[in-house]
Amino acid sequence: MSREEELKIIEKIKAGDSFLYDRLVLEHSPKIMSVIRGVVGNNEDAEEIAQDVFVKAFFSIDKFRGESSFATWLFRIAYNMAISKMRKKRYSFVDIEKTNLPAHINDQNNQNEAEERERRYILLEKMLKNLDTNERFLIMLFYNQDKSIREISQITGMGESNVKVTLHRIKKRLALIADSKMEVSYG
Amino acid sequence: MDSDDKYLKGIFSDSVNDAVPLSFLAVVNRKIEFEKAARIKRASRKEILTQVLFFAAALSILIAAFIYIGKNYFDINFSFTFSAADKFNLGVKSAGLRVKEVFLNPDSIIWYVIALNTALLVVLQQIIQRKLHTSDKKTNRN
Repeated sequence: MSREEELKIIEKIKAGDSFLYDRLVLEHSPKIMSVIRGVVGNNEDAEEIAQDVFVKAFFSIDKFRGESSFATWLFRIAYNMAISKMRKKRYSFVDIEKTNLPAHINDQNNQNEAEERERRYILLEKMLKNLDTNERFLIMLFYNQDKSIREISQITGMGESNVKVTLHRIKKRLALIADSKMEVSYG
Repeated sequence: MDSDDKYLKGIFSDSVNDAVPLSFLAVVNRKIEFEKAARIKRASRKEILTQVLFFAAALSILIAAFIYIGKNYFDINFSFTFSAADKFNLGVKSAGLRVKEVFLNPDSIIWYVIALNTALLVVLQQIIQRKLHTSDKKTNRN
């Protein structure tokens, strides 16, 4: 969906055509789910938070002025909601579920790929466990969603230099974890 | 992007934009409907509370005005003792004379002020009621 098309849909929703909201949900739910899953770790909690994000967005849609993209605005809601809910300790990070492994992992011919994917999941889990909620969110936006520093700054409300410094710090920590894990794996 | 970035991107891109459960949209729509109903209830409760408070305030002013008139023009004593009963009766008997005196008295401007205040209260109540009704329509549309 192009930005112009999206803005037209949003204007129609604001005018009362709320059925069009389904298109926005279908368009953006995979991205939101992906990031929130990385933040909370399990599908069930991620689903609940993602649903609440879209509900909140629906009732706040009059506040969307189109200065940023709709995705950025949604991520901002998701960020605030994830931070708030994790802070209340209603959700705690649990092990990354491996339910998202593609079906062909079980194929004998792709055994090496399956093992590699398995290793990467374990590594991903270890990395995310060592980060706090805010850091997990930053890292998911940067590496999972390819968001720019500027976009991450708009989403989180952090200054751009603060985002850069935090990402750099996290990256170094993750690289150490990755190195140690690789040593253990291939040790 | 340096080598660390590329490596980390490889790790994190495994779960990029994973499939969302089929029921996701249906659940979102259901939650929206629940929230709409909850907002209508909250708005209705708020309107009722506002009207109750407004009328309580208006009634208090009206009662205060009646007590003032009763005390100053009809000599009605509002202290609830047996000795005051006689004064009360005397006050009521002279009410008829007093009413005439008040309405035909050139100094009866206080009556017109009270009437004006009452009319103002009624107008304010109508305006507030219309505003609440308009905000209700907006909530329902959403």
